[in-house]
Amino acid sequence: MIAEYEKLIEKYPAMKTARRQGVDVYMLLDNLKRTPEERLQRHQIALQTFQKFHNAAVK
Amino acid sequence: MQNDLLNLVDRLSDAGVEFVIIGGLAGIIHGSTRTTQDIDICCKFTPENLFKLFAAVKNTNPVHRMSPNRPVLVLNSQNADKFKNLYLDTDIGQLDCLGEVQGIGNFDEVCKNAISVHIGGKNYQVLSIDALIKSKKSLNRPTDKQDVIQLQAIKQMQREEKQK
Repeated sequence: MIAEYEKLIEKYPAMKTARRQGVDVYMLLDNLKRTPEERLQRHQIALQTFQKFHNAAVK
Repeated sequence: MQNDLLNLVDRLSDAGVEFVIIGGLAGIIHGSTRTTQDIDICCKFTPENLFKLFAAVKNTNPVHRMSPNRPVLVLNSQNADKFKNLYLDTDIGQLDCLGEVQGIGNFDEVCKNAISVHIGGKNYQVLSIDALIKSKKSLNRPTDKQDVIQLQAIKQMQREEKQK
């Protein structure tokens, strides 16, 4: 998987730029394999997890 | 209640609100890895559309989050044509409703720059990646600059994959 992603990063200059600017491009490439619905569902899970941690920290 | 942005956007659709998803959530739909705690939409600020929006969120305790003392959202025939933007907080998340998008224009212009995306059995209008980049470049906040880097990488990859 890493080799496949490295090929893509090499192929697309904007991906290289993104990596140089600190973007986790492996995560980005993983995300692009998903449907918009799957992306939103995963975002929802991440958001609710952040909230749980935040609420626990506030208590 | 938990933050539930999908539920919020679903409610708007079910109520027949005319809107386009913009901002961070549009970026996520296009593939960005960022997270956002609110939904930004561009919508038609006609009384008819706002009444639909109000019906969609009224049982989630909507308040004006940017106003002092966070007053409850009240919509009636006296004020329905007065709003230009609405910045709401609800029990299930924040909802920012804009009458226009910087760098793109009013609702009609935003509609011309929207694509249809199938999510959860429904079609949603989402600001296109080109228009989203244009808008974020125009806003030029630190978070927008980060978004543009990702969106440009996504755009380049999608464009070249399509050409294959």
